[in-house]
Amino acid sequence: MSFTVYPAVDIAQGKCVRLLQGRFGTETVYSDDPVEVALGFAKAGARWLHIVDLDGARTGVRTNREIVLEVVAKASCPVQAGGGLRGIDDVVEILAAGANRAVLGTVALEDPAELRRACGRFGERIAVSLDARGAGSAGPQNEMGAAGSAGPQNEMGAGSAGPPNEMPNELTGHGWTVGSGMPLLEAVRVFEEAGASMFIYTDVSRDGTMSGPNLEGVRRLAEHTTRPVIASGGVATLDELRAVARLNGDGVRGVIVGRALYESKFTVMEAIRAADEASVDKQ
Amino acid sequence: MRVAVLDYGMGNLRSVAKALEAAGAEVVVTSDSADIDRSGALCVPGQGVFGRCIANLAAAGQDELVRTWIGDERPYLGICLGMQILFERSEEDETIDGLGILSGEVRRLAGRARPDRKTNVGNVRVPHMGWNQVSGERDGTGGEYYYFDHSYAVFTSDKKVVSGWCEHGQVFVAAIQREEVTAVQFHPEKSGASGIALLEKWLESASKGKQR
Repeated sequence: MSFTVYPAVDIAQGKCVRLLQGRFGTETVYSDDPVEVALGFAKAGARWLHIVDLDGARTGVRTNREIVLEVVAKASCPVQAGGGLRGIDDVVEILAAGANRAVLGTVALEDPAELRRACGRFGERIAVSLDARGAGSAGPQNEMGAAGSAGPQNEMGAGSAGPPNEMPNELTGHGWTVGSGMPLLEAVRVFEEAGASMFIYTDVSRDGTMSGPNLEGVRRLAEHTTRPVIASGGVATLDELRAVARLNGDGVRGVIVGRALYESKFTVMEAIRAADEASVDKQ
Repeated sequence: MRVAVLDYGMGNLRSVAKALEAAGAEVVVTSDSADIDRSGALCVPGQGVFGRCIANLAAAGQDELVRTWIGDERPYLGICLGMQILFERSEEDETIDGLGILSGEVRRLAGRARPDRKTNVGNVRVPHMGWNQVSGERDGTGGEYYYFDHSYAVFTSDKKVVSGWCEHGQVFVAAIQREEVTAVQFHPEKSGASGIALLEKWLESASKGKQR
């Protein structure tokens, strides 16, 4: 129970989709009814859900707001929700509707004062999303390299994802479309200082690829912060999921799984059992 | 079984209503006392702050309604604050009394806001937010897991009303059973299959209880 599997429901244009490496226009549509999908995961035994309004994340306009609110109100398990939550008012609304945790990303990057206010008021109910892309070493002294200049239209070429298990260095906002210029670990310090109580770490270059999670990246982040970390991106097999769960002792407290569930690589309960077994001695 | 879910302005009731329906109840979400009186069982959910909860109930005369309902031995289910209000007082707001139907008080969970991650002693972050195990025995294990979300918990010396214990840095009361009063600190509506099973069990015992 100390390590949580979060089935992901990402919504774009009212549909349940998965993006490839966070790029809009690459989506695979898995269902026209995200509410049904989300409630289905809960019914299948999920202990938490992760739900994202992708259009909201990208544009700040929560196109899929009604769907998200319906899920958080109806789900038979706790839900963390994000995508386009740009201020306190959005957080108030989503928590009042029944969400158990609000996930902030872009606003944390662009308005640390607002993040501080949200954390001050809602504490443990706020998680900050760290959506990182671009190769680089993770050390605090790291200078932003060429890959750090990722602009709004940056395309992740296969080569630019860096060697496996390097830590992507630059944080992105606006649904992964805009590079912030902010190095990851520096941002973590700022967010911790603002009161963030939990981080969700996505290696965007792996997201939706089922190419395996960035274990070293998430481990180094968890080592760097005293806050719990949820890993996201790339998990395709139960073995990979177990490998993430074994980082439980390092402070990695959960994993978000998307495409692998939609493509029936394993079921929700198989994922939960695997995570429980792998993390059981690591509390 | 028709169940009235008491609407007293304390947050989202949809998931509670939906979970009761999934457990087989006919649900009305209402603040109308006649409507409640026509129901076979009463569910009082609750999230938010103790003081405001009691004040809201009192402002609508619903504190008396709950007292009378329980006094008449009609089936009651309290969830989270709906459990805490039954006790005498709460540290969360000492300017206002609880309903005092059960003896005991509500105290803030001890624990450190930031546990040492290396040792992670008891993982005692407050609020206690997450899944945890509930056991019928004070020091036992092997019970069901349910979802908790609270900073305050019930402590009572009246052990015979306690039907479930939980531990989060310290042992606290997770569930109460006294005559027709069932009350839980956790959220069955967010506890998946184990939550639905608990609601089914409550509905079954409620349907055998006193009816008007």
